[in-house]
Amino acid sequence: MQKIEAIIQPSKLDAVKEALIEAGVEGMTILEARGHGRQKGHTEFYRGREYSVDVLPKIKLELVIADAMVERAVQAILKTAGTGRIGDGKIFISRIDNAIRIRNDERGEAAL
Amino acid sequence: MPASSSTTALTETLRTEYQSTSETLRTSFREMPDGAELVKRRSNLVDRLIERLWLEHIAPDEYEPPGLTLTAIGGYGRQELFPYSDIDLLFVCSEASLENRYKAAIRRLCQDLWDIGLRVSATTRTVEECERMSEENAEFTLSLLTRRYIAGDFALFEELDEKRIPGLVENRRQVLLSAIARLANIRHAKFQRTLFHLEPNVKDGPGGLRDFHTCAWLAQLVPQAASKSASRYENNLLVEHRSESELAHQFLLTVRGFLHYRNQRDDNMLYWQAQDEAAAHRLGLTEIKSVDTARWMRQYFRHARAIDWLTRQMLDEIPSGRVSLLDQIRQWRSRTVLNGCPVDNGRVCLKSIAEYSDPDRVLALFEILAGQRLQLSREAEGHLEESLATLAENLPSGPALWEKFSRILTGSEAASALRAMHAMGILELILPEFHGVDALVVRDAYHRYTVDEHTFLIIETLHGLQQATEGWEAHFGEILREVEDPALLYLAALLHDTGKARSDENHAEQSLWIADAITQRWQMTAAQRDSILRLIRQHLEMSRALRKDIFDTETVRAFADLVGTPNDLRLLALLTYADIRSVNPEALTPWKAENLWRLYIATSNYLDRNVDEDRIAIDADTLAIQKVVQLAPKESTEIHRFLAGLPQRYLRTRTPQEILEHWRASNQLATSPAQVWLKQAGAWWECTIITPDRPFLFADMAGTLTAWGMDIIKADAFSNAAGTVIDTFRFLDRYNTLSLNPGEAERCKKSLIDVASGQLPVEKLLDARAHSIRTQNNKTQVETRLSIDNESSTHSTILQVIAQDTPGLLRRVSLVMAQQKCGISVALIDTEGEMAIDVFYLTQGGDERADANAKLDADSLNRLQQALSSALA
Repeated sequence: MQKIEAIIQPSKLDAVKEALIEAGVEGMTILEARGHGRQKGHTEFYRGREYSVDVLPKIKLELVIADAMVERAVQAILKTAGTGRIGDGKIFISRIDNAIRIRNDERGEAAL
Repeated sequence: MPASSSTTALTETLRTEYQSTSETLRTSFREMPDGAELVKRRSNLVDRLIERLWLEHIAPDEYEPPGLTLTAIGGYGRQELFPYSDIDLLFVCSEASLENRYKAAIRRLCQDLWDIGLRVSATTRTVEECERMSEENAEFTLSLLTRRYIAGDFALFEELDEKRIPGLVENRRQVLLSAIARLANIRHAKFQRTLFHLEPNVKDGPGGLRDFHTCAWLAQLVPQAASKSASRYENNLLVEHRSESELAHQFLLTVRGFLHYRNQRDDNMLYWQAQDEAAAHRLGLTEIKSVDTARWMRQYFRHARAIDWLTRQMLDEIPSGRVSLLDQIRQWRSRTVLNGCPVDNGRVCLKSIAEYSDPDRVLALFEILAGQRLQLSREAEGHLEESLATLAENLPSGPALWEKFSRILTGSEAASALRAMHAMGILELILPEFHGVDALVVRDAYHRYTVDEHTFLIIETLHGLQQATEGWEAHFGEILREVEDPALLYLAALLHDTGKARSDENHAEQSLWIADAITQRWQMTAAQRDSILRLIRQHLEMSRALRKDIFDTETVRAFADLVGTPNDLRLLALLTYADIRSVNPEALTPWKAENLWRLYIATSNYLDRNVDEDRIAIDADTLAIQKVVQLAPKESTEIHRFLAGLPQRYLRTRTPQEILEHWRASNQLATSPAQVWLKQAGAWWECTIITPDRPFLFADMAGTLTAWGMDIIKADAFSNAAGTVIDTFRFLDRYNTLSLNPGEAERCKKSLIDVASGQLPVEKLLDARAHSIRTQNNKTQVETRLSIDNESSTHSTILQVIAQDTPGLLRRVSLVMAQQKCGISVALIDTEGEMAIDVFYLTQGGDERADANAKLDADSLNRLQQALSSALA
């Protein structure tokens, strides 16, 4: 089992979700986040006051899926989240030791 | 002592009897759901079981032994025993030694009840202990208020019932009342103090069964002598509301019984699936043939509202006990009269019964409620209910009604006033269309409240922004203070979801239809109607824009084009903020609030910095232009010529009638070189000047108003391709020079005409009227900032001036620009508190220059900045 964490632009959330569901991903966690990579922020002026936008709004998706599904899920994200510009985001993948369904104590991939 | 075989056999027999009878009750309930009947029959069933076990374990006679009695308390004491409720038993002994003697027998009796399948909660006390109250366990004491004899020493029960408990009540009445209020307060807070949850808790939620019990306790405890009329209490409930609350109680008993059977446990949440099933079975509805879930839930809310109303009233009437002298003074001081309406201890009413039939006095009463943290007195509510028919016949209409209603909407406690009006039926007299959303349920995973409650929460949220001092609320509070006519915002908020009564998918269109009818009925001005309808039409657009990349220029541009003007942007941002916030407590996350704010300032800046990008072409034929041409179809060509070259902002901020007037005035310029309108508009005055453009014009106009002692708060200046300027100034006449002195308005107008046409040098006016230019004491210090933007506009250099708003500031700034030979193609002047925010679109002036009308070059910019810094120092 592997965990995919994807930081994407908020405007891409609907498209990425749909693509993941089509790819067969059945569950995901969506978090509101802020951050930046090379895409630095900027400063806005309003009514004489300065508002620095140094961290930008992002969406973080987390999914834990079977090994066999990983590449399909990654491709779904890459195809729908990218615009070709700095700020598109990143995908991180890590190994998961186990997963447990709280309702009935089901474990392993069966719990996904 | 081990159980004997006869005891085991008895337990078996009783278990079988219990299961069999329970099944009969269940079947009976399924066929004819009657909660009151169910809970009473279950109570009787358990009584019989306990009596048999009493004979088995305690004494051979149900009225023995002496010195020990068994009492049902709590819900069981009320004979309200739901299928999965606990059974609360109190074993009362005349003395402590008996407690020890019967301890084992009591334990066996309780164990048998568990074995039968009942959940028992048993307590043993001496009769003397029952007269003492533990404040840490107020719930137990309150459960004693509903006590019922089951078995044992009847005389001992009578002592408990007629002497000990009444004695406890007498000695600790105030403590008990406080405990009831405290427990209700904690419980209500858990549910955000509203009963309008889409998945309510029928037992603990506001308007639920626990509130009904609270009313019964209060009626029992409030001394008859303290009530206005002793006869008002009968069967522990107010006579005048007995039937309504009893009906509500019956309904809730049935619903709770249904939930117990459905969930097979003591789970009192009315989830969606349960609602569907309840509606399918027409639960609690005897007269209605068929009903969908939304209509069934409406019935639920109406019943819950009746109980909730009664509970709030009775909680408010809890006497404050022994009143200190200081409190007496405070109470005396709290008795006052507001606009002819007596106020006593936070409750307001009208002076006489006859006034309740006078719509003007009734609306004045609610205006007081909207302006103060007060409630209606109980008498006022009763009289209002009785007067509804008379009020309906005599309600004002048209502008008079809007004028009074707008004062209610703009009060700081408007939401409370509107809720009271809604509960009394007054709101639907004013807005019959609002009936459609009364307790309307629209089910989705997002919304927590009914549509009407959601609407009131929006208005409450908006008013709350006024006092916000930190966080995102403070930012949006700043926006609210800049809104030109807040009453329009509140009315739009009140109407924006009324369309959900007709259609959930396209409710914005339906709400628009409803709002159009209302604004026409109230004969609102065209500008007011446009504002409200546009806001309702667009009320979802900002949320939609948030789903895009809000830092993408294209997103901002498209959104700005949709919104059109800064004031409309403010209205939309505020409504969006409050709308999301009022969906459910978690909906407006800090993340979302920040994005909303970012989109707002990006769009606001775009609107201010792109005014001259989109100018009207001579052959343009937009809807806005068509509306103007419709007023004078034969003059279409001339109207197009007049509009050519003006920014789109001009079209969006003027009504078709105003534009037509301006066109007509521009035709008079050959004979009358300056056309001026001067009128009072609410708290401020507004003047519009139409005249051929010339150097120093804007500075001279600003100077004229300064000479007259006027405080310019807003202005805009546009010019068309033919070089005709349309300058509009909005200003405050702080010293009422124009309104108090007949003829001064005409003289001011003449000054403007004379200065604009060059007949009167403005310097002469400024010198002659220097006494009118008064200094002011500044409460806050604003640092002067000049920012240059040579990128946003392709035609002009944009200069933003932020400075302390002082008399003559605009004159000084525009004079410097004119002296530096800068042409002003657009000016947008605004004031926020003591801060002046002025945006100028400047071009290279001087006809002799080859680059005239281009952006300012570096040298010109430098000189301008230095001159401005010096002038503003």
